[in-house]
Amino acid sequence: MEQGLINGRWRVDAARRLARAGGGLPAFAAADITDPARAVIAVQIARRAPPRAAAIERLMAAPALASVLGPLDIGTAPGPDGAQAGFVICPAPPGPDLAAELRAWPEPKLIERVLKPLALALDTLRSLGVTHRAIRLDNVFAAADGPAVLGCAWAEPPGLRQTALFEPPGSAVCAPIARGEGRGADDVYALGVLLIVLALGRDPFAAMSEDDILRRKLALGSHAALTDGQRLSPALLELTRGMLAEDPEHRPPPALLRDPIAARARRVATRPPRRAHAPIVLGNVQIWHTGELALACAANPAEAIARLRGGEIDSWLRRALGDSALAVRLDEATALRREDRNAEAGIADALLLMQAVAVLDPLAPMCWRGLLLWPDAIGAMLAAGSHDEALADLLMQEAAGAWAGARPGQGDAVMLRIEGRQHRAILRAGDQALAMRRLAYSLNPLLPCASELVHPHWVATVTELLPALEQRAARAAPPPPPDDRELLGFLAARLDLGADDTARLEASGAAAPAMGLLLLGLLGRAQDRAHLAAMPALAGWLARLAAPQVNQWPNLRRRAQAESMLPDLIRQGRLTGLAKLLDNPDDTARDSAQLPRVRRAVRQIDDEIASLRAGRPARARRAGQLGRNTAAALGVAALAVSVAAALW
Amino acid sequence: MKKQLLWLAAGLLLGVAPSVLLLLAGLLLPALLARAVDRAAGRPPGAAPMLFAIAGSVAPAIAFLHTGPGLGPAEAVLGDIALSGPCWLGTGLGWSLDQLLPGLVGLLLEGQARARVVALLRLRGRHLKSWDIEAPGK
Repeated sequence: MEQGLINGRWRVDAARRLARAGGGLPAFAAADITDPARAVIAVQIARRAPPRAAAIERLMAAPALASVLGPLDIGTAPGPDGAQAGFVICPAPPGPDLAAELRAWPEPKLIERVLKPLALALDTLRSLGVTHRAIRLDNVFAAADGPAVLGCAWAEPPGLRQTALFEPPGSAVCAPIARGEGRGADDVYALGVLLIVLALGRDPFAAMSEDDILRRKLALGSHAALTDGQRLSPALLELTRGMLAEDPEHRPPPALLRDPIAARARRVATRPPRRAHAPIVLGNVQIWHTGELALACAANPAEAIARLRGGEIDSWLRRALGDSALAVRLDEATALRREDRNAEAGIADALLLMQAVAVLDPLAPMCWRGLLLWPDAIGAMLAAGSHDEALADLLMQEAAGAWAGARPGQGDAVMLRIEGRQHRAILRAGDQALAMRRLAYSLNPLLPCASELVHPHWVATVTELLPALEQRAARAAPPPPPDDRELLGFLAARLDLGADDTARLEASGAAAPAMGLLLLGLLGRAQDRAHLAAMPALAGWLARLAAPQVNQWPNLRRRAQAESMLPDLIRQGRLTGLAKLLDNPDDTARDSAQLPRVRRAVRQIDDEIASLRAGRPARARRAGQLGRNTAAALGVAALAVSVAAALW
Repeated sequence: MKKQLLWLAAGLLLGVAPSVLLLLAGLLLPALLARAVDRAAGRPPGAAPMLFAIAGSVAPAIAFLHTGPGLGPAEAVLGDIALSGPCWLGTGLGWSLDQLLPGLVGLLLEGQARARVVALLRLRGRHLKSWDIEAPGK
């Protein structure tokens, strides 16, 4: 197989960077060696921003995708700096991105070349259970007179590069890494924004900051914020009104958008949010709606908790807003938490605020200790290593399940609870920091191992880990014991270790010999399963780590036998053979059972020798007595003989 | 008490049959001397010299019975070296056995103990060659 190819098929030319082809990510020229005429690009993956494994798997298994640059393959190749890098291979864009020459599009062209093909693409993605979450000007491409095509959105977490302009408010309030997969309706929203921007020929919020955009959207509603004062055709206004609805359920499905007339005709009766007759002030902001109140609570947690506990928010909901039903729901959801002042520092407050925000605005993201996030973004956040402490609390409290319970009818609460329980079980098993890294790798199957030991290799699977460790072990300087949590978390996740192995892994964390033995077993299994080549340097390194363990064996013959066999086995480079030699639980158990018997025997021998050495005077006394008795017995015999002779 | 009885018996014998006392004194004198020597040397006196002396006295006593009573026959028996000699030699043999046998038995017991120590040390060595008894055992 030719070196430097991804999966033996794709050649990446890391020296030829393609500007504006990766939707913001570095993109490089690539070639399909089985079909040189095929135009493909390689989009580089950032180390801490994992690619979307589930989406890539589904899209690669799907037949050819229309109007979307779907992933063709994923793998590693030398990057621009010469080090191994991860790439997603995609078809090359058909033309420049729409931001390159932003102009006002006539409505018919907009419908035919943008809306229809992209609606088709979104419909296809929806049928595959995948969202795009990267629809924006610089990630939609079109040839001179060709249809628009959605760019690559698979090489990083969803929504990571979306600006507040293209994101629904419920997603835009989150940090980019915390937006999650979202739903198809979020793509419809982004497509609606794209249509408005293209129809205007400019970004209506070009001069505004992200916060200002969000604030304007929250204050006016997304559609009004984007279109108020703009000259747009009534048809387009009607179409985009539905696409930019605040409630995702009210946005038209992609299939309907393929027929714009029908989509325009679809009207969903929605009631505008209820406005209070008097505002409540929170964080120095006057609040008139519950949506605003939810976000203000999330932004000012301390003040919000005080107001919740003091009953001021309840009063405002009942008296100023006149929504007693909502006040009752809030009271039911938070009653337990309000009284729970003695819980672990901050946890009760965090749960109280999270549930209050979920009740006040069921469309808002989860609010946890100042973080706004969607639960399916936890994997990406762990991978990025951001907010680990808050996330650990969130996972330990199974907060996502409680959050889902506070907003019935919104999302799959049962699945969130089950996942939450599984994550908590992993975290409770032992070392929490290690468990967090394990979760990061479990939730991101394509996340490369961040251990210094495998740097600069791109190691996303155990099969890739072994050659990287072999190269590291072959360097002149011996590697340190592999006690970093990145490597152990990676192994635990990728090998899906059970409770026993995980406990051994954690227990051996501080002891190099135990770690060496454990790694020999685990990596040996991986080496055999993947039929990998011999790894003498890795074998030598792990054997050296494990060797002190051999000195703990009580059976000296077994020690000597192992020491004599080690060099040969290291040369052969098969880790399983070494593991069997050095880590044989049956022999070790037998020896351990026999050792006390041997110790007892030696003790008895020592005692007997000491007793024999100390018994000389007693023996002398006994000898004297015995000797004199013998002499007397001979005298008696002589007397008897003498008498007998006389009588005879 | 025992001593007093012995002296009383000797006194009675001296009054009733002085020839018998002379004969017994002549034949058993070496055994009594050996007993006194052992006592003086701090060794526990053995019974062997006396027993051998009594065994050697059987033949002279029978000869004395055949010759008849009186100091003369007793002196004759004592003077006959063929009769009194074996008695005195027997006393010497008994004393020698009493002196030698404890030493010989002591050597035997000590040899046995040493052989046992050697066997135990060899067994201990074998254990220590196969097992690190200081190892933690896991």
